[in-house]
Amino acid sequence: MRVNSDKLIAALRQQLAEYEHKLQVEEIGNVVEVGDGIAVVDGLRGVMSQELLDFSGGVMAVAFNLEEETVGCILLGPDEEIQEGDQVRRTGRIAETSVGEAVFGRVMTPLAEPLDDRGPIAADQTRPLELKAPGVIERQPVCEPLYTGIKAIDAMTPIGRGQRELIIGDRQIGKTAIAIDTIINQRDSDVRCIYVAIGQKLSGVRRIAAILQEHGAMEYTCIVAACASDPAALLYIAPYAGCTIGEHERENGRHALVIYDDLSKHAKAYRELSLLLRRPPGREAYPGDIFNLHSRLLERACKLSEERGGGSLTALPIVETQEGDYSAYIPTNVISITDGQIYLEPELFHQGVRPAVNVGLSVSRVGGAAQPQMMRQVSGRLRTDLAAYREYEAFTRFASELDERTRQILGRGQRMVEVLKQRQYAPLSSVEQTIAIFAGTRGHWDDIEPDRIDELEPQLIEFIYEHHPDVVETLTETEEIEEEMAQRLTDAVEEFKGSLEAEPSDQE
Amino acid sequence: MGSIREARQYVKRLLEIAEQGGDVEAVGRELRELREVMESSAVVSQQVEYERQGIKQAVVETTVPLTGEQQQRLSAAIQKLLGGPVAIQQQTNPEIIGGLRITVDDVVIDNSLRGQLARMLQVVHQAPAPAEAVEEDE
Repeated sequence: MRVNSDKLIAALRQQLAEYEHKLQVEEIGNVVEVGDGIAVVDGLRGVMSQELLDFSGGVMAVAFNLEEETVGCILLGPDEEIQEGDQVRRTGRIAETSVGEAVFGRVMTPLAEPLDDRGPIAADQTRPLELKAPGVIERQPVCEPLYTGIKAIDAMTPIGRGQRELIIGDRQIGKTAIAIDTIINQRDSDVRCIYVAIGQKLSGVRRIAAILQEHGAMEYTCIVAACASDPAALLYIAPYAGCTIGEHERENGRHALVIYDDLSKHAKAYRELSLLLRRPPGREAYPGDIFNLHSRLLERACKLSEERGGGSLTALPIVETQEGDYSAYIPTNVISITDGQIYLEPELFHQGVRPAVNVGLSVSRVGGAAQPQMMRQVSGRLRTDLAAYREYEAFTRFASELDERTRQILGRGQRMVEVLKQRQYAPLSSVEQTIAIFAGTRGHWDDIEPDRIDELEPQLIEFIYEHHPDVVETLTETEEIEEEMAQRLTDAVEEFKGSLEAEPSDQE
Repeated sequence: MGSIREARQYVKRLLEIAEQGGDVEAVGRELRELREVMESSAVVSQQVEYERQGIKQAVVETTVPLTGEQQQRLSAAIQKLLGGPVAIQQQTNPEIIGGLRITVDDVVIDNSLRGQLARMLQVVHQAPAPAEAVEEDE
């Protein structure tokens, strides 16, 4: 590579043509104390809360504690270079990040510095990280569905656009997988996605980006990553940055989905900062405003009224529990803020029920209103069937001595559990889900061995798409399944089962 | 102990220690000593005097010493700007390369060559890299 000096000089000249010399009036302060990602600065009398501060050497910080004589700030970069007595400048700007078209398809830090290899992020708009959530008048109830593409969720705990649905569970049981599948499932919808990685391994973030890329989901997705090695301040601002990017879409009448993975690490980063800034500790050593930390973030997800453009921001926060203890401080906080939770259970996961959604503990408080009539019809009996199955499950080991009715309940339950199992990265459209659940709840699988359902279900869907496109068309167009429609669907499923018996060799 | 500000920080820390159940007598001794040091320093006692009278102090940095007339004009201009009596403390600082820099409390009015260069650098940093200036070698 060679640098052409003439061209370089010409380019510099052009860039500096716009530079205009003005008398610069600045407010400065001096570093009194620095260490562990925080700094105490003397001076800066006029500083605003949350204002960006420029430390000599290019490190930025956010003013956090405004005290009588000093300002406590959280550093957004390494603190090694900063020394006592260094000059600190006000920037006059509240902490902000880039928003708009340019950030989608990118992997970046909360301050919009690129983490991928595609050069600087050329966004022409910025937006403050902390903004007040829209008021009551500006909102409307959740009314449109946001499909996750996962049968167990779309059928039992449907999510609406503008909803906040918590994904909660122990480590390593597929919390992130649900979020990723949901992003992948938005490829045919108009929902933009933002995935906020808080305190994760860089390799993990890299892997997620690769998976999204592979499934064609990266172009409408922005990954905001504050990794485990980043300063706590960056972890703290990451979800607000993601939220701001989504809010920009919402304000412009579009739809966005933001995933916070995960808020327990966020709470820990905030605890670290608070303790270092000597704010008094409370329960589990978290500061007193830890509830507000999450509520002000999640309140910003909403469905705007038609007058405001009807845009929406859906939030899927993730919280990790320790040993299934969802009554710990942070989980209970976030459960009470959100409009429902998807509870994942390790036992189910290890039994092979994946996604390991515990149907009894998972709820969606507002999503029902957004669930299409069709899905409600076919999944109506699902919950009761499964509840009855759980009740009788203990008797399964005496299978031979059971009466007919119990055997039936158990058989149906087992098959429903099978129907709700789903492979990763394979989200289904709402019509595909309707067919799959219809076959289960109407008892069409009752004479099939449960362990064959996993293999037969995709075949059934394919069969109906191929041989009965009229059924698919009606399902896509109508909102309700009428008697005649149900009959046609039943016939189609029976025809598929008939074709299985006709050519058994295919299944071997 | 160069300035009142530093002294104030120091006293504040001492009082914090006393509050946390430190030796009050020792803290008192320390404060008395501090006072002696401060009073013996001409610069500090001057500062204390200014603060008492409500006179603001402006530090003017230049590369060459100002002449008496320049100083008077500058002092009049700054007084007009701040709307009150101002005591000017002149310093020569070759680091600013040229021009002058005035510091009043937390406010810096930077008209130095160094400051201008720094701001130019910022403009260049923010602009997109000139891709046409770099040629790929075979």
